[in-house]
Amino acid sequence: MDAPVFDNWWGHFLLFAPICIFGALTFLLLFLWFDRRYWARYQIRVGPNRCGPWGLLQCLADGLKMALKEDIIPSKVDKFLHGLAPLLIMFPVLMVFAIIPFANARSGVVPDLNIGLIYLVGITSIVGIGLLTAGWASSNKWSLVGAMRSIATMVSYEFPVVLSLVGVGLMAGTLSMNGIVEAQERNGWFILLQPLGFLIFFVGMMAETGRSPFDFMECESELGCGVNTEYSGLRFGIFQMVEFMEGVLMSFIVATLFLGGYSFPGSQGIFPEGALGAVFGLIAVMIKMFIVYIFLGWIKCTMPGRLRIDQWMGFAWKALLPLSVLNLIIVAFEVVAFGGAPNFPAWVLFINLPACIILIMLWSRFWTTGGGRINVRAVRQGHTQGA
Amino acid sequence: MVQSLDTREEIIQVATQPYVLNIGPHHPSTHGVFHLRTVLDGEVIVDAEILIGYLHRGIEKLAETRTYTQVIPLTDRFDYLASMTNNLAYCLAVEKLAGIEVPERAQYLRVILAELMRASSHVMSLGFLMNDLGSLFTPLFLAAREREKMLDLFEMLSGQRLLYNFMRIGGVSQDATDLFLFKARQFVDQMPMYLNEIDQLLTENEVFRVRAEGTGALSAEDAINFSCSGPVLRACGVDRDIRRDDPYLIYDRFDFDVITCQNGDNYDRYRVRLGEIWQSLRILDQALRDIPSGEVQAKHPHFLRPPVGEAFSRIEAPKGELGFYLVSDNSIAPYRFHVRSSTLINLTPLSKMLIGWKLADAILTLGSIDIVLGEIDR
Amino acid sequence: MFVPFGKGILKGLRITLIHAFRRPITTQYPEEKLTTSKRIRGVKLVWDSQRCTGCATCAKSCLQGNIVIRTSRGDHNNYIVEEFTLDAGRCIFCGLCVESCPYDALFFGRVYETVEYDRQKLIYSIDDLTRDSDTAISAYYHPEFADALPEQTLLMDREHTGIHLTFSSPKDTSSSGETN
Repeated sequence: MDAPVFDNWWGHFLLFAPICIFGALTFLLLFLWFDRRYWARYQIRVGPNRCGPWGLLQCLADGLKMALKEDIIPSKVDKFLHGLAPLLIMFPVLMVFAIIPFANARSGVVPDLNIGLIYLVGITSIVGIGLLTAGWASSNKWSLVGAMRSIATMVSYEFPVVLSLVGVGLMAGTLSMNGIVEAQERNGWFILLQPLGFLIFFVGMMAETGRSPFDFMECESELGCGVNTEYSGLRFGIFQMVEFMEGVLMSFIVATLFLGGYSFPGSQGIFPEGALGAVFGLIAVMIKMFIVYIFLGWIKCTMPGRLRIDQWMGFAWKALLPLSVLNLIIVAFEVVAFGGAPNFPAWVLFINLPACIILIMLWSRFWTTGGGRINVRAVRQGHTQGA
Repeated sequence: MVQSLDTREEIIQVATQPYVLNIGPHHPSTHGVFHLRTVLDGEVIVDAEILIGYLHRGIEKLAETRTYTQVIPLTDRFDYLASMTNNLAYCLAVEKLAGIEVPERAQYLRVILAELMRASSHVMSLGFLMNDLGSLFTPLFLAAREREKMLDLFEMLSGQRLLYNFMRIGGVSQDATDLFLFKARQFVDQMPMYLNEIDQLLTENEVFRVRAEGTGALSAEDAINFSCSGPVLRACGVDRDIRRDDPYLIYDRFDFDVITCQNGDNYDRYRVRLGEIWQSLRILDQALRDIPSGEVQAKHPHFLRPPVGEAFSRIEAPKGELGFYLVSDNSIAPYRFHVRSSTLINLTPLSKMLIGWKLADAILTLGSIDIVLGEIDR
Repeated sequence: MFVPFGKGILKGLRITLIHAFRRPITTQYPEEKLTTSKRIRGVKLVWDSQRCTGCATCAKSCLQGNIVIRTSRGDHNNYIVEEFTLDAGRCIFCGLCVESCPYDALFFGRVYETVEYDRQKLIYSIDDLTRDSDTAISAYYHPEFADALPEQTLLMDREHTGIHLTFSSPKDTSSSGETN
């Protein structure tokens, strides 16, 4: 480590962690504002512009409103789990912000975890447990249906996401996020080098983090608020906050793993080392994350709806999983053929891109949703099943 | 023929317990206070029961103590998204009962307004269907924008945006200005571009097609047996439209097609409605071109006393076949006033359409039948 | 069987992108107000005391009984209207009263922004309803008033052009919503 300021573990913890968390929460407010003004443009309207100049304080007003509302806890809920669930959802999302490389770890400002990818996958899975807890603890059938859907989706989409991450890790030769960014600096962005992996990861992560069109965690028009039906006040605010933070988080992760993070290809010696270089890196990450976020918002506003739960899972198991396995096989062959990770030529794009297009066309011809009408012989008022 | 992608027999073998889930009356997607009590096994609907009456206002009883003209604002409140069509059906029934002849210009104006109502009701139902599917309200805003233009036209004509009280016995209440006809013509010319936008956003969208194709299917035989009408019937393949088969007003002078599809699932109902908007624009084009000048309301006594008798009139309302049954006993108020409500009858095969499908399909099917609670509960 | 490789979604993305670059059609109420239609059915009726004879046809034609009229006998074999009350909280603004007046003494106003905290304040008495020289009268069922009123702003005219709307008070018929 170069800079002596952050040599001390305690100094790092006490300085970096609060900055990171406060940064995440401030981002949340800014991006909430940006979201609402931005999505309004797709709907030919303006968005909030009354609270504060250009409506900047709108999110603060909403947050205050949520905090000041009465916290109604129904009498039949499991109180411990009901209170635990928002925490189980909020903290993992905040924890993942720790490993995102906002700048080069060699500058000493940002830490680097050498098993970053495993940490990422593991911690984001805890959110699923939180959702299940929230749904189970509220003694409400709607919450239960919502929770079952969420946990089923999260478990189903873990596989394609993890397999595409393994592909990324193979190409980079390392599991640490910083190392992946450095690999992209040498070889080119992974969005070009493995487009199929990018698409699978994008769609899978949209499902995992609950972005539309997979927004089971948000207020579903079908389920009337789904998992967070029985929450009010600040706990409800936490659910909404986590929904947005996950979107931000997903954009950061995509920007880091596929778009090159804080660097550009071939920019090794250009930016100065140390704290100044860290600022350049931060700006680069922000711009890329912003681009991904804009793209996510565009998709969210356009999609006219969600798929049904069995169609979601059919999509994950029958379409995304085989594609991600094939992607992994292709990447593994290339890694072996070029003798180890750091020596990728850029023209490997011309193998991967046609493979991506051909595989997608092939799968779209053969993939069926399944789940048609089920023959049930139901007896009214007796509720005995068939047979 | 019910078409589904694959059917499985008796999938429920694990000892699960079905549970009762109440959809509504407070629900974001039930288009009003509509209560559907479903029995679910996992996600599969095993039984569905409709409970209505949350919006019952006793309009049929109220009409027995109001004069024939005073009943017209009451009829507004049935299908409040297309309220002039209710007025129209009622006025046709009274005119049949009392033998009143409607002048030409009033007939043309009635046709223009009925078709504008149809377009606004259908475009709104498309928007809300996408809401039920789960969009971030973008299609709803686009549809509402189109409807807003039509509401501006209605405001120009009658002064109100939602409950117009515009039709009268013997015609319409006020004349349309030249500006109205000019702006209506401008609207008909501009609408295809915006309708194309909505079409491109929604019709070929894979998510929508995967969700809507095959689900909530109703066979033609079932639809006829359950007396369905309107887009629900035409989507099953039955070619029936009262405007063509039993023409009222002057519909026999206009040239339009009746849109039918084959499968009777949610996607076909969407396609029928979208096609009907195009046909409405076609009729509007012809009517705006041919409208003559003249009187707009036939003269009749202020307190109308029709002779003793009964009359039934039916029209092709946007939601289906709307009928009014009137019995008169030569007094100033109707003796009996009954509505053959299109949406209530269209809801009768609902359990047949829902059993075997999943919870998400229930919401979508309910949205695609396009219910308005005012008409169901009266 | 359709092939779901995403073409429909891409078409939809193009449409939303086109919309993102259009001017928003929102009006910033209350700074910008749209000019309402000439025939708007305002909340307060306008009662012409010179022409009214106290026949109470309007009260009879109201389907809810919102109009209360009390008259007393005058000297010249006429009725003097002592009380003319409209319960605007219950009124459904159907317009049957305006249409039924045989002496053209009752009109609709053009005011639509009457909000009160107390339901009793919505019961308008004879002083609120009497017509004076600057009351705006809507052209509902009375097309003779239509020429003096400003033109209605329509969405189909406002779209894409971003017409800036200036402040327009419903009572003030001279300075109307100017379009740029």
